[in-house]
Amino acid sequence: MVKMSLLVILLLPMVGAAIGYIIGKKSEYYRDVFNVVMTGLELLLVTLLYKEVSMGVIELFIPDVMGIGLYLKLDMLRYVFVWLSAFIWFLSTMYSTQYIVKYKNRNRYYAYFMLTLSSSVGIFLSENILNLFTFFEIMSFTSYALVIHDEDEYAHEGGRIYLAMAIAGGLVTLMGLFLLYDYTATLNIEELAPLMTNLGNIKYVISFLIIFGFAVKASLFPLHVWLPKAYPAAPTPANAILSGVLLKAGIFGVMVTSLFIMDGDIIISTIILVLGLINMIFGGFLAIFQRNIKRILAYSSMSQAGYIFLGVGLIGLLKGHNLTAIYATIYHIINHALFKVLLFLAAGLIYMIIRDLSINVIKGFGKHKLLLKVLFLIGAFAIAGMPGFNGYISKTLLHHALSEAHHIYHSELFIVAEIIFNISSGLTVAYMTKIFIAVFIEKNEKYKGQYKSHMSKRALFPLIILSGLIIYIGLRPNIIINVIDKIVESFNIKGHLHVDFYTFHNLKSSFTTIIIGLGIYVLFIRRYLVNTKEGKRVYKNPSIGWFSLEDDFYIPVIKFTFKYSSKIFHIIDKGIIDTVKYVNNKVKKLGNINIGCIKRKIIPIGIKDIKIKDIKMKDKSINKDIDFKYNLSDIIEKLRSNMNSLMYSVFIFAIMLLLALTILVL
Amino acid sequence: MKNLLVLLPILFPFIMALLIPLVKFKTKKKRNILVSSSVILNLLLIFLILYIDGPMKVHLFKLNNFIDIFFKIDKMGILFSILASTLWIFTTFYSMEYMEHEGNEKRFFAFFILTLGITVSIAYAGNLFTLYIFYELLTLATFPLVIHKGSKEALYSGKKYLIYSLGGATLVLFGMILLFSINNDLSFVAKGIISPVASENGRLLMIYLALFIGFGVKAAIIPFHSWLPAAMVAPTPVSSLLHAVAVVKSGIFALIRVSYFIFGVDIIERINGNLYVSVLVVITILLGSLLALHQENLKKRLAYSTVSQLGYILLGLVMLNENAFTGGILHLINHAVIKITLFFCAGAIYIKTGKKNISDIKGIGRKMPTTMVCFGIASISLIGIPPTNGFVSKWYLALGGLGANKILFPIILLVSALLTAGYLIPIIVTAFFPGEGQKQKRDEAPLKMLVPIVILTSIVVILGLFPNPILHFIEGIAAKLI
Repeated sequence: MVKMSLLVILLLPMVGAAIGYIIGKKSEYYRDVFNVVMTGLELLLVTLLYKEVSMGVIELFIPDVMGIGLYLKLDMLRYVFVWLSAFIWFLSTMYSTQYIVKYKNRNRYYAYFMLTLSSSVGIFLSENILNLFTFFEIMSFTSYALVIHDEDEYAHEGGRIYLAMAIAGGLVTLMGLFLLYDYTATLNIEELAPLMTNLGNIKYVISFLIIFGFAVKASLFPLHVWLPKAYPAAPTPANAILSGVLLKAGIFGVMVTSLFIMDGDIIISTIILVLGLINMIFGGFLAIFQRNIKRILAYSSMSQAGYIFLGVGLIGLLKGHNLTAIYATIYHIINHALFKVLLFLAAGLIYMIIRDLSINVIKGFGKHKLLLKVLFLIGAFAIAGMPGFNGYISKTLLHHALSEAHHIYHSELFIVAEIIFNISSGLTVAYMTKIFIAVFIEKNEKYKGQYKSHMSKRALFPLIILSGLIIYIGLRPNIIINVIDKIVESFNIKGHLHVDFYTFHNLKSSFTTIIIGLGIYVLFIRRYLVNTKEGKRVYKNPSIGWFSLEDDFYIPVIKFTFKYSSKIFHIIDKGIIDTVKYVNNKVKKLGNINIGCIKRKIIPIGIKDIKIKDIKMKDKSINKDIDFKYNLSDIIEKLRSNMNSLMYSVFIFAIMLLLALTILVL
Repeated sequence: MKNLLVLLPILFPFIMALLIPLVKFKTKKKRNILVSSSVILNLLLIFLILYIDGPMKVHLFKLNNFIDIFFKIDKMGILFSILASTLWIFTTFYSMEYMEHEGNEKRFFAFFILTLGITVSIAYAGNLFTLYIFYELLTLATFPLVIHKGSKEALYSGKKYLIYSLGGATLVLFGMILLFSINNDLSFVAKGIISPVASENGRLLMIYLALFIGFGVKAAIIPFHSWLPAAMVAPTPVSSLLHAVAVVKSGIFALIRVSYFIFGVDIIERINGNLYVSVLVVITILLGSLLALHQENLKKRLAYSTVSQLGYILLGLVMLNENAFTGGILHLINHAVIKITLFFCAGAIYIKTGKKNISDIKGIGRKMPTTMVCFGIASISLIGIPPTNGFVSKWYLALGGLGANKILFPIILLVSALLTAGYLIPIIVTAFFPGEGQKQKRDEAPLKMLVPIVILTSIVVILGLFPNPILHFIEGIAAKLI
């Protein structure tokens, strides 16, 4: 009975999508209610499953689906992801009913919104990696419809690169799966680990290929290029799930590959760790330049994904001592989902009213809106790692894990990692300060609190829940720790984490990063990214003209390859026809060449006596009388008329028969 | 006597094809009923003979070992004949509506049913000579369908089609004579009929290549593909059938017969025949997809896509292992279903709007949502994204490629899949997400066209979700051949 509940939570949103679509044709109001109820029900079901899952793993196998069967499994790690999805979807749906009011095609939006939930849950539940991949692909397609919801050029541009990278990444992953199955003959994640360790170097190729597709969704450097284009184009609730859940789906895929299939292989883990570090600093660095809030938050997501990848890498590297790393990683996954969704939804509230997200336009908007200001500030504090908020807990844990790694390996890498960790945390503080000061502190005559009534209560409700959770977790970190305790068991590690979060040392490192961040804000952003014109601050973005991986590298390379390969192939395509035409023309020309068949009288006098000129003269005179000139076509024409006669055909038939006979005899 | 039952599904369409021009129908409806009932009856006849036990074979006419019209039923033939007859039913219903716009329906349906008979004959042909005869007949019977419009362009394309097909058939004849000269037997037997000691490699290789290229012309192997896009001037039901089952798949079916029932895996491996043709096949796959990207005309784009997809099937055949063979045959079925759906959708759009070019059909998803949803699902399946049937066949093809220790093949499959996405996804995107100012009223194609499309699309998904029954059937065939 409990087993079937897995199928229920997988299919419920799918059914909801269909029913909601039908209801929506009749009444938009009832559809909205229905969708909220549906996601609420999903959340309730998932929450109720907690007890079962904490007792033991739930597994369900349905044979024959897609040939290999559908293998679902719910353990504590997956449960965290599933619960997060259900929770964020519930809030986002509630928020959507307010946000999406002004948009068209709402019916389509909700259908795809629910389908994406279903596929996300499917990703997290799959124990068979091919099932996982299937849900992942479905998720890419359904979320595409959300990204381009606006259908303007901007949305299409973002959507195009989103889909192109998702498909390309998916195919690379598929290649990895082909190889994986070819070498191991199984696709069940749990059975794979022992088989993989016995493979040679091919396992690195396989895992690299598999990770590729997931890394696209997780915006791992250098596959992040879709992120700054797709995020600002998508509607806010879609941003919330993109960053809150879909990003995590990519991370989940990477985790499954690197930690379970590869059993935390050192090389793969190191690569993930290094790429994670690049993600952290690169995302943070680009974020401080942006002026569109959504784009800042997009790069921030990339940076935070880097933190999680750092944790994933550390889990692999610290084999045997990775307790802290596991806690840190999962904790940060949860936390990032909470505060990033809060920030996106808060930005969306502004967008609902002003229809713009450039901080040059909306600056000072929130000066008189106390509730929004507080909510945003909570999100900002959380992401910056301010003590008392949830971000502080996971960042502290990550920091601990990092120093543990340093103790064990004594490698320069970890000194660099430590520095990058601090700088990126500082950058996080800097870009959040930038948004906060611009939107909520600066003065702007346009906004004097006149939009207060536009702020929908129901849209604010999800934000309040999220902020409540953020503070609650920040003050009582152990409630999540208890959940993670059960996950740790699945990693086959005995032990329990005892960390006192609010010690002087931890607080000091947190405040150091905040000071670094404020330093960056004052010394860099204020100085170089702000122009003051007639007493007004205008933010500028000098990074626009910089080298961009997408425009200056990927696209030219692809265009170049495409252009020349299609040129070559075009030659082949037309080749046979052109050759035939060419031969045909030449033959025609050949046929038209005159074959002089000259008869002349034999002159008995010694030839030497007559000069060549004379002969030519004579020829002409002869030719005038009788024209013997032929051309090849004429001859063929004559031949053909001859051939028509019976005798010739018998003759030719005989020759053919002879030929055939000789071939047969040979 | 029982053996003569084999002839039923072969002769029945021939008789009906003769009957249709002779009978004077009072209304179109009566003719439609006759046509559709005869097509359905034919499928039933096929099922009927399946239920009769015992080896089913019959020599219709035997002069000597060479000239011998011989029919035999085996699993491969059953698969192909059922596929053809099933899709014929869908196409019949579709064309009832579609052909009203084209005129000359009587002629059309006569040749249409004739082609069915010939295709079934090809499926049941028991030796190479019979296959060859009906293969030639197929060209002649489909020729009037291709030039149905009678326009100058149609006639030109028809000429092209004839020249290519007959040229290929000549090569086949050549190969066949050579083969007979060394073997004195042309009947199809699993694992081949050529004794491994008797003949020298060079000769065998020559015969294999002659047969492969000869039949390959119909399977649109590059560089012998250009009749296929040209034949797109034909009415949509014709082009969809040509693509899905009748013509191109007959070419492939003939290649299966030649490779696995005449030569056999061992001989081909010995003479390295698969190596030579795999070069052509790889070029076919990539080139087909690349060229499809350049087409503006929707039907032409689909035509080039067929070229590439046929390459997938051939790739499955030339890798000579069980997985690849399974993948190839599976793709033969899957591609048939997918491509016929795509063509039906294209035809529905053409009937409703008169538009052929992709740039003109912006926002068509609003106008014809059901049609375009089906188009979208079929496209996704053609790209090979799970959980659709295109993915299943690609999975087996790729495993086959790896099994043959050629990692290049799966990579080519995936590159081609990416290109497939490149030429199909933009169509869906422009159809569904046109942006502002594209308010159109819902205006779907008539039910007779829409219902086949929807059913076929659901087959696409069902075969993707539950491929096991067909898979086991094919694996049964594969186990006997390899």
